[in-house]
Amino acid sequence: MFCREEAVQVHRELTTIQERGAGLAFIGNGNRHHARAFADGFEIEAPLYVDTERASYRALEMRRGFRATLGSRASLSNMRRALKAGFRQGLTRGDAWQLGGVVVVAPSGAVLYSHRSEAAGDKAPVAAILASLERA
Amino acid sequence: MSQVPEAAARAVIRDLEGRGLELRSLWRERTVVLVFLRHFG
Repeated sequence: MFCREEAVQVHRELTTIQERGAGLAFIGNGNRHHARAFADGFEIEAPLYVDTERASYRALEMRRGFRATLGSRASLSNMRRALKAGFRQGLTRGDAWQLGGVVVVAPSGAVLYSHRSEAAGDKAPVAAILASLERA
Repeated sequence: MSQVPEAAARAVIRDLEGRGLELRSLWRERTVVLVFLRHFG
């Protein structure tokens, strides 16, 4: 459910992101059939890619592990928030213990913003993502 | 400001047609917001 929540919330800002001269892309660690079902189900128009080996996740130091995902106090309160907002957990497609994050990268390769989830449901604030584009 | 690690820039991802591309191709022409999802579910 967190995955849906984050994807939908950031995707709502697609027009604003584009107005600021930037692009948006999603990367998941399930296979491409899962990715396509996800994109169709949530009407995701931004490009979607898969990294089943999770090489990019490792290189960007995204966290992984049970304690970091569902075995934490923070993930429980995040779960209550997501449920309240109407997001439900679907069948998990991909690595259940992998956490994600958001990285904003300029054409020079400079990292303008980064957020690595510390627990399941720990999302990057959308306002912070958009603010980083003003500095681009 | 920090740079994307070389290993990340060169990491190969795949589009939905199964074509491989380096992660850095996503920011070659313009700034990009990359959302790394936990999983598709």
